[in-house]
Amino acid sequence: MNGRRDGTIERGWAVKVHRTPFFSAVVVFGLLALVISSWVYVAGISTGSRSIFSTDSLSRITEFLSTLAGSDSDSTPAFLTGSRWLDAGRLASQTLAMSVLAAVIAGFVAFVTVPFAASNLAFRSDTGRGAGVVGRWLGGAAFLAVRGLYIFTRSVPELLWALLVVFVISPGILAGAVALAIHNIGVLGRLGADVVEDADPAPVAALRSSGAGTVQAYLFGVLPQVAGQLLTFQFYRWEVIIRTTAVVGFVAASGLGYQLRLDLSFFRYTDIALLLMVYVLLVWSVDIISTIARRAAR
Amino acid sequence: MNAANIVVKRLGHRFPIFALVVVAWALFSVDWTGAVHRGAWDALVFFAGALAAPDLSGASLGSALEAAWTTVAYASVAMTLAITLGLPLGLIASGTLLPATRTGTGLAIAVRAVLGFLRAIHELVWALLFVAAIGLSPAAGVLAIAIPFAAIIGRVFAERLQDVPEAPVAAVKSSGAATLQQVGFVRIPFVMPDMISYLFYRFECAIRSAAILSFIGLGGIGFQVQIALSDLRFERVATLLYTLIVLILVVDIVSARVRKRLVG
Repeated sequence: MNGRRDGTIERGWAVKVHRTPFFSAVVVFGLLALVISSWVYVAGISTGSRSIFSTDSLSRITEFLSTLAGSDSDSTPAFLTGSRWLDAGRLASQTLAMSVLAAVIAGFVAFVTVPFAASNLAFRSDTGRGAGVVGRWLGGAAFLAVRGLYIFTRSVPELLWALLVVFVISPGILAGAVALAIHNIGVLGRLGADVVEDADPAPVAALRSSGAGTVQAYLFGVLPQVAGQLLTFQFYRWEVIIRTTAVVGFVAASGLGYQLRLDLSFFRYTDIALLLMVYVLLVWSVDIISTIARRAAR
Repeated sequence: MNAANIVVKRLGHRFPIFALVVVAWALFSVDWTGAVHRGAWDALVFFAGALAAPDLSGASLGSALEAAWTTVAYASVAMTLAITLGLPLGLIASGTLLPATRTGTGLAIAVRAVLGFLRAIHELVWALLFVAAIGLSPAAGVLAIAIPFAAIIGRVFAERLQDVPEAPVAAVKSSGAATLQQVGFVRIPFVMPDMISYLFYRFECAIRSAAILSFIGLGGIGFQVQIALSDLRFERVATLLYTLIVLILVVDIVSARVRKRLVG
């Protein structure tokens, strides 16, 4: 991460595209080719299905929206019934609990594994003396293992993790939380490792020279510098998690997502509208709480 | 957000206590009895075995590659739409281009509110709504990803444009540059390197989102995973997961190299 530290001041000014014309050309033309062939391919598999940009689908969308508002039924819409709001609130609290658990599990695992994934701590490059042969091998092996874990967990989306997790944990809040947590371990770990690598090496070197190990150097040399940043990431991820939690509920059979899926398949349109309202309100509340918490963490 | 600052000042030091209470509440809302299946350990051993020995037969690899291409194609189409919609919307929402009159500021705030709403809803919920409204088609999946992604890209672009240091802007302003020139020659070039690497990151997210479009019935990696899971062929699942990882790694490596060139 040396490049970033050195380049911060001139960022945006030193756009050195001319330095490496070949690489830039490959990337630009590669992306262009990818985009064109993707459009051709998706247009190809779309033939036969209804065009989304037609007057027909426009009228279908307006019709759908008016049924969401309760135009086609005589009974009171769900979102004007107090008891339905209570039910939806209960589901929202399940979703909230799932998101909190997911954020806590992911944050904890990332926090514990991060020192082994940061090259400055894992390889003891900051001591000046370096570790013994065995120590260096162990550090290197742990580094590869943890970085590999991060890449693996991060690459697979939460919903696919949920499909696998329900083989181990019964569908419910915990299963959803674990699926969300697995993906976010990779995200938080990677972000955290970058921050730890960018930390000021002087305190770590001072601790190391008086005999501190990796864990001690992390706890007393790095953590005081980066704790605010790590908490910021944690809350930022919580905002992402709450949006996804509703969806993971499809698979994990709890909260707003599961009910939304049921209501969609039973065509209970005003209930769908109610759940969407509660969902957006929940997401916005979490955004506000998280903004406040991030400010407090700074 | 002055209100947020006041809350932080009043309650900031009690924040760890609130956090602990919320976590405890979340733990109590889990039904712990029977939370873990009886065969959980066997399932884990089975998974580990499959991950260690993925199905690398021709048929399995072929279907994984085809699924990967479908997923990447959906992601690319959705990203092109999201960028073409998101960047102009972000430019308006930043309020740097419009005059600071009542209409100019009002428009910026309105666009910001719309982006906030579009962003709040997860792409899969958008997908379900599109399918419920107009029926299943690849366009529904593509739009479902493009809408929230455009909103996120718009918000991030707007925030970056606002955060450009005032000094260079003031410098060209004092030499007589109009608002359009200030934005075009200072603000946008200033944020572009960061924005490009952010867009690569979004592309990575788009690939993951496209991989779960199977939940509305479209093909791709998620679809193949669901088929393999219902056949209990975990070694095929492993192949598909590794394929997804390779896709994400490729985007990550290209992104890192491009970033290095741009930031120097």
